Amino acid sequence: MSKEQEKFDDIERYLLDKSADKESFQQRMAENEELTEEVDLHREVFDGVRNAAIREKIKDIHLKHTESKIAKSDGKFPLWTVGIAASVALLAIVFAGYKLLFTTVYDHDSLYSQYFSPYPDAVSVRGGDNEQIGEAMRLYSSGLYQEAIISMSEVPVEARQYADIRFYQALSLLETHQTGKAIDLLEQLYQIDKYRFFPQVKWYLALAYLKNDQPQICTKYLETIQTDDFKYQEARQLIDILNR
Amino acid sequence: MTDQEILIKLNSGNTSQQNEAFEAIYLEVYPLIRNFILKNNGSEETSLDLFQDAMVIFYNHIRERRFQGASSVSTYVFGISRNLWRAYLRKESKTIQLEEISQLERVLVSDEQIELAGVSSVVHRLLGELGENCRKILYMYYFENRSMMEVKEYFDLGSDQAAKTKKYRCMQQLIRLFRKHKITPESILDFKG
Repeated sequence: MSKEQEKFDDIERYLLDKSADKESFQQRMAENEELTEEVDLHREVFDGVRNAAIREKIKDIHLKHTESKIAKSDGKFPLWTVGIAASVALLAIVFAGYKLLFTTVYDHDSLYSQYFSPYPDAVSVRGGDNEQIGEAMRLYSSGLYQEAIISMSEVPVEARQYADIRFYQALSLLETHQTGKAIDLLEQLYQIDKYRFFPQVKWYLALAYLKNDQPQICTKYLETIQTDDFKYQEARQLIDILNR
Repeated sequence: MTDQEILIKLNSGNTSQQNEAFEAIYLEVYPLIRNFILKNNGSEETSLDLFQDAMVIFYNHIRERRFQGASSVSTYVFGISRNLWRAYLRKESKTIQLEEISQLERVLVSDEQIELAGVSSVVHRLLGELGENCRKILYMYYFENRSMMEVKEYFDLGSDQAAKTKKYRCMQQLIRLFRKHKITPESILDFKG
């Protein structure tokens, strides 16, 4: 083993806490500035490798969920494999065309994205109101929905705007893809007599069911939206699309 | 997967369990971060880079027992990402139109941790220059805490000593590259750019 490798092993044992005589190594470091610098550099690279491994894992997970793997080709495939590949590609194009022609209108998630837009902040906050309300609505307006949900859940029941906040909490749940919870909350709000956001609740409840792949219930709520209600035109359009 | 399960898996030291936990966090938090970055004029690539940085910091917080579970895992990781984005904008001298940092967020990420995440990004790229085998050996030994015997068996090497020598050479090569790039906190952003 070379002297260089021995030094490397000493540094590694020290950094990985496997050194039998840690104190003596520390003493050597105290007397040798160059060694200390070397140890610092190794530490940085060790940590870098550990942390790079996390990046690698995340990258792999991301690729798994977003991209199909493209097989590497060296261009030396036998002719029959090219024939099969061409046939498969042709079938895929025909299938994609068929899907595009006949099924896009029933893609509920795309329809949801097309029609959903966040409702603006209409909560009035006066001096003396609970501070949590202003903070929660600031988070909501900044698009920080996950944080807004937490902040909203801390608004006390006694607060004047408690019922209003629940509506924005449901919207934040929708924004963070917690559709089931959003539906539960919106259904509760739908039951409140003379609720201020009642027309809006009907619209968002319909959209929530659409996102949840329940077009019949979605249509049921869309049908309740009256001529002067919030999003009446959009509701009619959506009903038409869903009935096609 | 609950937060409790995520933490247990991340602390398990078992690679496949850790992968499950990383994937659970990715599925819950990455879409939020992506939306947030895109809404603030960032790119798809930046959002993944930022999420990787955030996960590096989060994992280190768990190892150092700094994450106490006062907020949910998703809120915590999102908070880190948001602060990283803010730091990135500041470094790029871009106008920050986001709201002021709240007290909770301020404690999440220090400059030192931003640097740590930045170095990880650099090392990740340098490891790419080393080749697949070296990268795998270094991950196995330093991240997965595998023994030299396991490394030897995985790569079908003759002895533990042969595995150790191979690991040494890979690490030396990486250190040389690291030196060559003269990594400083200031150069990290340029290199990542």
